[in-house]
Amino acid sequence: MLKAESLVVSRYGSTLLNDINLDIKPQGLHVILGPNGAGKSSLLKALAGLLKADVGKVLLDTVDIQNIGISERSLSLSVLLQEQPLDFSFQVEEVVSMGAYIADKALQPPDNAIVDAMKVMDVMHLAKRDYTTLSGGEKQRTHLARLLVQVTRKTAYVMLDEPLKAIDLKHQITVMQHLKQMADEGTGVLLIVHDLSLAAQFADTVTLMDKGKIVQTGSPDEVMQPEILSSVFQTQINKTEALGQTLFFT
Amino acid sequence: MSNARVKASFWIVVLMLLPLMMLLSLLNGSSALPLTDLWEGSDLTHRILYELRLPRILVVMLCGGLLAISGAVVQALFRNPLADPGLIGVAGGAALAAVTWQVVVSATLGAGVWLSAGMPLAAFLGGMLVTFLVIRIARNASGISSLMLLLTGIAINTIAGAGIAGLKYLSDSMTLRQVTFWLMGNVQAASWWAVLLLLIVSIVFVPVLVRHAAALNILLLGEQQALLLGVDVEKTQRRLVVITALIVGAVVSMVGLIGFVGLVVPHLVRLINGPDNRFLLPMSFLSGALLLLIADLVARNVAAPAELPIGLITALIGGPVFLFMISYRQRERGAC
Repeated sequence: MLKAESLVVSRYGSTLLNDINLDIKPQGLHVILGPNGAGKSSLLKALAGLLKADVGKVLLDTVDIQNIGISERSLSLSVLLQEQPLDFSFQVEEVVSMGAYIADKALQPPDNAIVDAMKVMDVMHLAKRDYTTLSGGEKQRTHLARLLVQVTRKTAYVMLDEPLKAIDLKHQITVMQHLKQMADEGTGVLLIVHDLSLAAQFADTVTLMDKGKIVQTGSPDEVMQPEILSSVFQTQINKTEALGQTLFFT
Repeated sequence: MSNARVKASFWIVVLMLLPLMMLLSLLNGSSALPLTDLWEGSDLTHRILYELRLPRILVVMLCGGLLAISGAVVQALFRNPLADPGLIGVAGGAALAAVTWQVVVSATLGAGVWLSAGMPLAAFLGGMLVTFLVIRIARNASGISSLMLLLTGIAINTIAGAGIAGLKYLSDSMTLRQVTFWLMGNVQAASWWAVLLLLIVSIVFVPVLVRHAAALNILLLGEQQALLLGVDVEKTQRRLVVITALIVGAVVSMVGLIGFVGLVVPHLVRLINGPDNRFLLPMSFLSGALLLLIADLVARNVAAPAELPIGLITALIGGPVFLFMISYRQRERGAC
């Protein structure tokens, strides 16, 4: 179980996270929603151990995340951050293989892990291409494939900050379906998305954030009510059903 | 051509050219010697070959290799293909410290063995101080910015330049002459002692750098992402900064300022085989040795019997190459 206990994080004179209590279940797909600046990325970084807590702590199976060694942490958690500042002309398959940096030594993943990941994210045909010449969505899919390579049987949680950024509709569904499958097979998946309808379609648990605090955590039906969403996002949000799916529109 | 074949041919070409250029360099010079002199020449030719030319050739090669590999490491550390120990001020800081030592300590106390050992040490400390300073200033939350890096380098090079000019002004004419030649990159005074020191530095540190190549690749994804992939970012950075400062300090104290090798060589290797540091680091070491050997050959022959300072040649080649690199990157950016 990954757990945030009365977490407070302040940086540069402003409070990024304010008294966060949250359990991320070891199975299932957990989506964090919220407007820009709500503290979603900060929460994800704090849960990954990148942001140190000023008050409270993050526990991974009752151990403070700050006390877990760097390589061990990278085996338990696979994390994809929002910003990927890579600016060197690696081939796509070289970037993808970087996911195996630690696992290579510790677990020796199957040789085909890299190829499998590239197939799932549909970048196989780009394997030899220069990464810096790719489109934004292709770059993002390359990093997603790299993340999949990092995932092994030791991985307890996968966290992704806006994994659908710049990705076209077809591949958005591919990514979400694959994450859902991982979640169902016993990996805790935590992700930040902005598409409310996609969140409602795939999430098992939803956390809504605003101004550094958690507004509510629960099932999509409980949390994603038009009134609550409208007030948090400060814009009129309506909900409808079509072909058995919940859709949100403004 | 496939990746593996590019790599293999690269290795073969460089490894074949190196001994060839060494031989050429050994026999070529103010007095050209026939090949047979290598084993049956007179006392004089033997002295020219084994006490003047051979140590010089080895010093040149080791310095070229060390500068190139440390350039490649600095570029990966700063996640910036335009970083170079010279451009970002590390060599300048090392030079200022070394000149200070030469002018203030050696000139007042005389140049004993202990005192001459102090110069590499001073250069190392100067280089390391500047590296940490640059990292402190140029780093922000998302890493190290190219703009801040180059601006910091300009400022530090200005300060170092002013410091060196002031010290030159204060020094007597003998020291002034020494310092001036040394600053332009001077390999004429190369001795077997210099070879030994540089050889030790290479044998000890080059393997350490190469061992960090995979981690340096991951570091190019950004510091936070690298940490999440299992790289001990702080420890790696600290260790590599100290090692590159040591290498640059050793080279600067032996041969003075030789610019652009650390920038141009890794860039050329990257152009041919991509940015994978596991190949880039060892290949930069070999190519740097080869390139500086060629530069030295040019320096000795272009105005024979006079010799040009080797730093002048590398600057003449490296400056335009650097300009081309910047404008090429700029055009690439503009296109997309």
